[in-house]
Amino acid sequence: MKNEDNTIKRVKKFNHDIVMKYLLMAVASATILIILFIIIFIFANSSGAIRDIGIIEFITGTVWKNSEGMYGAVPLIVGTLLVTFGAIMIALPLGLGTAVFISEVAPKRLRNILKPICEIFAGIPSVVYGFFGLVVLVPLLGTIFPDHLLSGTSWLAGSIILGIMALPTIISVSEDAMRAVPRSYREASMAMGATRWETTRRVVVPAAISGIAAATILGIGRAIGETIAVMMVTGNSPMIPEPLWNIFEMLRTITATLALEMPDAASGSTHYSALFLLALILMFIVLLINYVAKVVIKRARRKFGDTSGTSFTKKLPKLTYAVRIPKALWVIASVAITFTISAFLFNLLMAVVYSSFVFLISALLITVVFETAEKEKAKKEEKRPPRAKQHTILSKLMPNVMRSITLIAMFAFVWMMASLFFDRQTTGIIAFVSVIVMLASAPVGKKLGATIREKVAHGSLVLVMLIVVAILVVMLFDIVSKGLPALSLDFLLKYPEDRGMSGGIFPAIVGTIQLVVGTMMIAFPLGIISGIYLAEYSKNTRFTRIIREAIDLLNGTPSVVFGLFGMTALVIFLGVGIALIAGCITLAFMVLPVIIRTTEESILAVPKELREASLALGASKWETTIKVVIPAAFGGVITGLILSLGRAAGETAPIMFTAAAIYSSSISFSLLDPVMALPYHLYILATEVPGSTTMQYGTALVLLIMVLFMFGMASLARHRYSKNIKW
Amino acid sequence: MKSWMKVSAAILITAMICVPLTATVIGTDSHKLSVAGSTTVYPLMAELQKEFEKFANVDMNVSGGGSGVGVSSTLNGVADIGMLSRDLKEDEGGGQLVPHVIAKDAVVVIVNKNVGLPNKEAGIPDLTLEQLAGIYSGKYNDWGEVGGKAGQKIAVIAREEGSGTRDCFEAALKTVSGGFVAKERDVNSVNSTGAVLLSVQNTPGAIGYINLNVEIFAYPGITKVTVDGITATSENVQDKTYEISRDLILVTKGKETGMVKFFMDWILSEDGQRTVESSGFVRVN
Repeated sequence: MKNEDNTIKRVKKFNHDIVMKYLLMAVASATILIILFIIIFIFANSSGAIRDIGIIEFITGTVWKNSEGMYGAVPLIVGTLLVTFGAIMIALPLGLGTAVFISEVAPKRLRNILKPICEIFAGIPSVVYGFFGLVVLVPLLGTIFPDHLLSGTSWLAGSIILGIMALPTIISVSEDAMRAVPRSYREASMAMGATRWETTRRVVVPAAISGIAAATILGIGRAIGETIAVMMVTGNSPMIPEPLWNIFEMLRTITATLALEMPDAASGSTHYSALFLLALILMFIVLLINYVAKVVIKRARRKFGDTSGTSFTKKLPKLTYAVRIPKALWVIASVAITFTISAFLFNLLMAVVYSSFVFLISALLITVVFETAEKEKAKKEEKRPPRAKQHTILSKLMPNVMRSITLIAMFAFVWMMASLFFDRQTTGIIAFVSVIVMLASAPVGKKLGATIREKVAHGSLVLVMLIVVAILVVMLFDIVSKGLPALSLDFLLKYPEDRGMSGGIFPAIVGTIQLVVGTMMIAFPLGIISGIYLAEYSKNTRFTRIIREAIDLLNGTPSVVFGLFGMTALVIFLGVGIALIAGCITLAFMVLPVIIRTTEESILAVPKELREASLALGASKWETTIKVVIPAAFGGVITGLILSLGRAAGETAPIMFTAAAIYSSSISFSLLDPVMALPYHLYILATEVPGSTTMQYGTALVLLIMVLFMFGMASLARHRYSKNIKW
Repeated sequence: MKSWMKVSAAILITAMICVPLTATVIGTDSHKLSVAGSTTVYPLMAELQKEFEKFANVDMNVSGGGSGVGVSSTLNGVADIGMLSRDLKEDEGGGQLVPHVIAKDAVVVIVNKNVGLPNKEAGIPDLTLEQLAGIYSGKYNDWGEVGGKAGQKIAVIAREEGSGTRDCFEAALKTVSGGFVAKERDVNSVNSTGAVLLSVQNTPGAIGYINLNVEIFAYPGITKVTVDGITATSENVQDKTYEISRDLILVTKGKETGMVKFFMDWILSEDGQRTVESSGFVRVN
């Protein structure tokens, strides 16, 4: 009898498992639907522009002027690329220096302080960055360069703000990459008599180079998709800088154009669909960048996948130059050909634009091709004993070639920057002198000896670290010190008066909470269930891969594109109007990938033994998942959830066309009413209501406190659960 | 056994709540009035709302979104009234929307005080529309060419492409003989009224433009300019002697009825127009 009972039970459990599996799968596949919806809506809306303007005319037109009906995307694409390039030029040295300092130089205790400090950067909402840029940085630049800037809004201001925003990504990803370099590498290098700096420079950084590359690419992705902060400081003039490297000119990015012009575009007009076509281009660029990042990261991970007992010299990614050169040549050749052809067909500017596009695409292709080639090579190598690497003449020449390219680039950069300030002759002299100094510094450095060089290097790393911390301190101090006087019970509990010049921000606080709660109710179940499915039930089938691709795509989509989707699909197509529910759905779609990923990762981090023990005791898979795995992964899941809410609370671009009211005189709990929200309120105050400085700072402070509080909770949760559970 | 059922049930229920949430459509109350659209009209509408709610038992909600959203939400019935800071385009609304001009807004030209323009009557300097067109098209680059301090470069400050204020300003400049094409280089485009004020205040030789309802008393370095000798007063805007102005428009779907009609009539009444005036806009009658 007893035996029979057991079999019946087991059959039943088996069925539950199957049912649960398909249920979870159904929810997980909703992500694909979402991404499909977004793409369909954007495509469908942009078709008008393709018909009326023509795709070629659109991406080669050099004038963007809505009032004249001229829609040429070149100035906007150029603006986006330039401001991003500038941001990386600022963020890379600062971020990499900080990462090296934290990972290689700082003692453990200092590291434990510095890491969370750098994480605060990631928690600050972008509208607060934009606000800080507008009220502090822009006037400051105006006073520093009075001859070049009228008011300070410029490419330079945009790049500085974006650079600061890209910092946390660059720091954390490249720091992780350097920490992942096995100890044995460092030990081997030190044992050879190298100093710590030499080890860092010659061993750790080269070994972590693909991680650092990934960090840079992710930073670029972050900068390209940013909307509100850029819009507040770049001046938004859709012009190509003249000359192309004039960092004092104003420019306009794709994202800013979407946010600025979408509200007044007549639904269905050419202008409207031209904006959607722009969004499509933006998505394509970001997709490309994220794809490259993914491939690079994969490579970085595999490199240290199995590090035990591998010899240092063999694994060091010297990547024989002999293999690399034909590929580099291929890229250079294709870029050169595009440049010449388009220079003939159009003009110099178009040539630059097109060849940089070709460069991006060919770089992507190379990475993919390289990837598969390496995979096959790795497969073959498993069978054959490793061969000694061949040194060719090229491989010996390559470092010199690289050095001269660096020198030329340096010369060009100094020349461009100096030409903005001085006449032709002086510019030439300055650039020439700087190259001489560069050339001379190498032998001088050699003479100084390894210890002094180390001191100089570490000293400059400390300096970089101090700059980064100083940026944060100045920002926080400015906002807190000027925001505190505004904070009062009245400010928190009263309605805004006189267009926000006086009164309080009560409805904005309530609205933000409503948005966050609504987002939570939609995103949590979808996200957690998808995460569980991917971690526990999915196999590596085509279907799973599609889901993962969809999640990646969703993750890389710039927030303003979510805003556009929410506006066309929910506000206009479904006829919801500007409403709380439209904002919640839009925000939920935006945070979904973060929730899915963190859930999946923390479930995967639960050791196999726990599951095996549970299964061995006769629990079904579903029971194991729900009773053993999820409780064990709880800390990670909660952390992801809170982080995503922090992000939802601070975003402006997705709600500005979907949910945000500029002013409301009552609190409404209807899902179909618009709500005020702190980020949008701050944006409106800062740009539309001159003279409301105190109110702006007060709003910024409240928003900052709210978001940073959530981030603090997240790190507390992570801390607590990681202490409670030990394996 | 039971607890996993509970958990899965909880998850399912949450999921099920979320689905209807996305689909719920609550029927509009008869005493509810929803207005959406242009952010330029918004401050005025907020004032009108405050006054009208005292006057009638109505629950109004006003949201932004821009003129485009104003048109489409009125068309599909989400909003009762759409706000526009520009004219209704020909192909917009398919002939279903009725425009109502409820107020006028004017653009005022401001200059930095040290540009050396001779003061006309009442201590206010003057520029002609032709001179303005010349400055903004790049024909004049020195204040000496338009009667100001010779040798002082003109620093041209404009609103960003796409701004309603800019459209209004440029539309007026286009009426000068010989037409007007905005110069593109050496123009400092800023994307907010606050930035225009700051730039004109801080830049020697600067010229810019702002909406009529913006107060400049906090900026001592700025002075307003009359155009063709005409000051931008309500009277002058109303009878169109001051040319740089635009209409603020509300659209309704078809012939308005019920509360919508009541509201529209109220706006055009003495009470409503007084509110228009006190918000810094110009009344239409």
